[in-house]
Amino acid sequence: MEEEDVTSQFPAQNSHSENHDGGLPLFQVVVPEAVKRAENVMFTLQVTIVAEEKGLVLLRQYEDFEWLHHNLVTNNDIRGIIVPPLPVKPLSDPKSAESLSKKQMGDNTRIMRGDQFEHDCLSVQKYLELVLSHPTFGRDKMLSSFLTEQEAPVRARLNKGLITRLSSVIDTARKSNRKDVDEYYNTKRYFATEYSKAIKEASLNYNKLLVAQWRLSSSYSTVATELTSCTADRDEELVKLNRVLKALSDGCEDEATCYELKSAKGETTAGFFLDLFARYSDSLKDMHFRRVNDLIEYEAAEKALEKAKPPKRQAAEEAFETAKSNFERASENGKTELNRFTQIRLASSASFLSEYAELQVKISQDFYTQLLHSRRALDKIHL
Amino acid sequence: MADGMEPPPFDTEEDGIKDEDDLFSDAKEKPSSPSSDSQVNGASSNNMDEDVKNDLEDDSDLFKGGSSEIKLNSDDEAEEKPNNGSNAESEEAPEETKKATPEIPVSEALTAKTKVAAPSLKAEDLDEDDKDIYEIDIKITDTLKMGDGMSAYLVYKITTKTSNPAFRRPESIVLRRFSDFLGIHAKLAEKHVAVGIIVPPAPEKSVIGMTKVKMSKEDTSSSDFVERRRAALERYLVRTAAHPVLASDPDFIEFLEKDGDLPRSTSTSALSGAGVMRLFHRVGESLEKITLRVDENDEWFEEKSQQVEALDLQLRKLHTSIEVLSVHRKELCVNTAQFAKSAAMLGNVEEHTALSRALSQLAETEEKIEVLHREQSDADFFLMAELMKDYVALMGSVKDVFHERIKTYKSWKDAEMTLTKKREVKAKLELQHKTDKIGQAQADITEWEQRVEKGQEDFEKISKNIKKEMLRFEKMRVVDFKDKVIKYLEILMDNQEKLIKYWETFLPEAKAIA
Repeated sequence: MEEEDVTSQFPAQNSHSENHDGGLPLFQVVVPEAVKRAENVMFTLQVTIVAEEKGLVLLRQYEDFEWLHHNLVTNNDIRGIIVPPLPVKPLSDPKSAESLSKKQMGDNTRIMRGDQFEHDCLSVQKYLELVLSHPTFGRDKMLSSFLTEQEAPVRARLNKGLITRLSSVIDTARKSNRKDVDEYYNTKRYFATEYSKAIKEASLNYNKLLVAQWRLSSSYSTVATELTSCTADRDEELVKLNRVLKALSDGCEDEATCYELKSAKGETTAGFFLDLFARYSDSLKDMHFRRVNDLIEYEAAEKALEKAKPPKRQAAEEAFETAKSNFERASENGKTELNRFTQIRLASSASFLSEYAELQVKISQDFYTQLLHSRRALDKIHL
Repeated sequence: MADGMEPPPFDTEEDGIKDEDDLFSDAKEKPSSPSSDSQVNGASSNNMDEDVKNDLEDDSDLFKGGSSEIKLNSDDEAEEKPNNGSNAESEEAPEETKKATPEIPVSEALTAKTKVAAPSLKAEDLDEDDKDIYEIDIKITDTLKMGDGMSAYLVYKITTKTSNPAFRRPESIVLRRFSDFLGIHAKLAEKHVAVGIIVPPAPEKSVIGMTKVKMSKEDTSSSDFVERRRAALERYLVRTAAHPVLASDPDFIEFLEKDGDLPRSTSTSALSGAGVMRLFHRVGESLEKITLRVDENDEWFEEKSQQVEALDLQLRKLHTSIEVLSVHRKELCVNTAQFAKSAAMLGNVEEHTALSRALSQLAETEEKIEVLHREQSDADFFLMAELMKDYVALMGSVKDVFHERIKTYKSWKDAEMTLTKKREVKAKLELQHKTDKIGQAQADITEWEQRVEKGQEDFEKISKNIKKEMLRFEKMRVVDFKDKVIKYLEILMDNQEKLIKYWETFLPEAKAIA
């Protein structure tokens, strides 16, 4: 059901991107399941090649996506582009899953939440969708082969050293306050920073809310079990009492299922949206950051050109031209990308908010009816 | 329902006494010893068997003469009731009258049926039983803090409305302290537990909670505690008043209507010497409970004891679980508030107008939900957790009564043993031809024979009373649970309904974005 929901969102975004870039996406991908193989989580990909109306089924593990992402980013010119964010690595070892479950359900719970691969599948599927419908990445050769060849491409080990990451953090902090030449980008960059903060906070708090709901649900089911733990067969009054308690137990059971459902569904709607955009907002910030870098380079090249002595003038001019065109491309691409981002954000927000609200209404309605049954059952107990 | 077979003359006599008490005095009842109290109770519960009959007779005063073949005592009962009704229940009585169309043949048929198939009428019995009791409505309307610092204390304003003629006024308002409640409970327990009445337990003293109240200048942080205690005390009074015997206990009436302060009861303070003594006493009793065993020949008691133990355990577990539940609900409340806040923040940041508005609406919706969760958390606590707690305490009272029966049994058996010894002494004396001492020994024997007889009587009486009390208690329990469960489920339903409403209001906002 969850997959269907997402694919139904899909065409809406397609039609949008088709305006710019006809024929995208080249592939449609559904990720129906993931299984654990040894230490790795294997995702099943159902790929449909749109032009040939041909389908195939592939197996990919998370590291393959990591490699794909790396290649997409390095092989394409990503100036001004908001790169769709790679999903977080699924938890594959039992210990981390257990600690997550404990964190969510409380330490002394007897209920363990199962593997949450559905959520990971959804994230991966969404990622592929975003990449495939993206005008820059949608036609990438690497992506095509990734989705058409049975064997995953050979990956090189990715080195993301601590030092590079650290220096980039410092860099970001230093450059992010830089005044822009373009007022439009000034406000957009400010928005990106604030939005990122706000959505991360919202995502975090929403997850806490979900956890609280899980816990409430689990304590309701504990109560429900305990309510029916006492059996009495012969004693009339006790039988009556037990029938009353049974009704209460049913009510508690209903509440438990209700909150469990709300959490599960909330996770795939609101939780999913918030999580995606918390990551996406980082891509947004990255884009701005890269553009600021380009701007700095451009300004530096301009200065160098002014100071350049005749023998070096040629080289300086070339450097200046490159930097200028880089920056201009970044700015230009950035504008379309920002618009695209807004479009995606709006579409996703609209669908998540209405889906979320509809779910809440539906679940509450269902359980209202359930509770009504328990309530009626009580009326039938004559004292 | 063996008490249905009780010899009528005995009852008639008792009813007569009761009749007089009710009609002519309110104070006369006071000196009644525990034993006579229990007999009154016996009589009134005998009513239970005759209820249906009585009901019909009440309705058909005109035909009463015609039902002469019915037991004599039922006539007395019937006479007694309309009298009371005319005294105080003048308004309620006619309503009841209309309920059933009286016909004598039916009443006879029913009489026969009550005797044969009494259990099937239990439910009705209870209803009738309730009607036998005077209308009484007790509320604790207010809590006042008196004094300052560590000598501060809380005073509870109790409003009682009743049709019971034993009260001087139909409505009275008194101020009572917590220790007064403990005092009245102690008095009631002393008088009535011995005859097998399940006396509802008073709420426990909470030194920590009270200290908080004393320390706090304003009762914001402690208002939760105060409200809990107020509710607990109110439930205690209502429960006590629902008992036909306890409700008309002179001490209880005094507690509810005497103007001014009651004499301070010193023995109830947790830290006093008496408190410590009580603790020792309790420890002793619980030791005794472990060691004392009756080789039970009454299957009913054996079964009930097991049931009570099992239920006690279940209720205790439930109480803890529900408190945990309430805590989790509170957590959810906090988290919802947090999420509402960050949704509002996101709405502020968002540059797109429609989306921004939708997010603010989401924040508002979540805020409303937070309020809902908070109310629900209160309901979890006040309805369910407190219900379980009350019944854990009540199970304690039931156990007390069971224990009392075992004590009675023991003193009966002790008396029997002494009697055997005395007889042996007499036999020895006869063998030794010590004729001068035989007279004394014979007197001893007669005395102990009487004691044995009384012991047996006591034991049988308490056993019988307990059975009756348990029946009443269990019925009350089911009614109480059913009431609370219905209320609780309705609150849950109400909340789901509100949730539906909130989200439905929100939905158009979400749809307006794209």
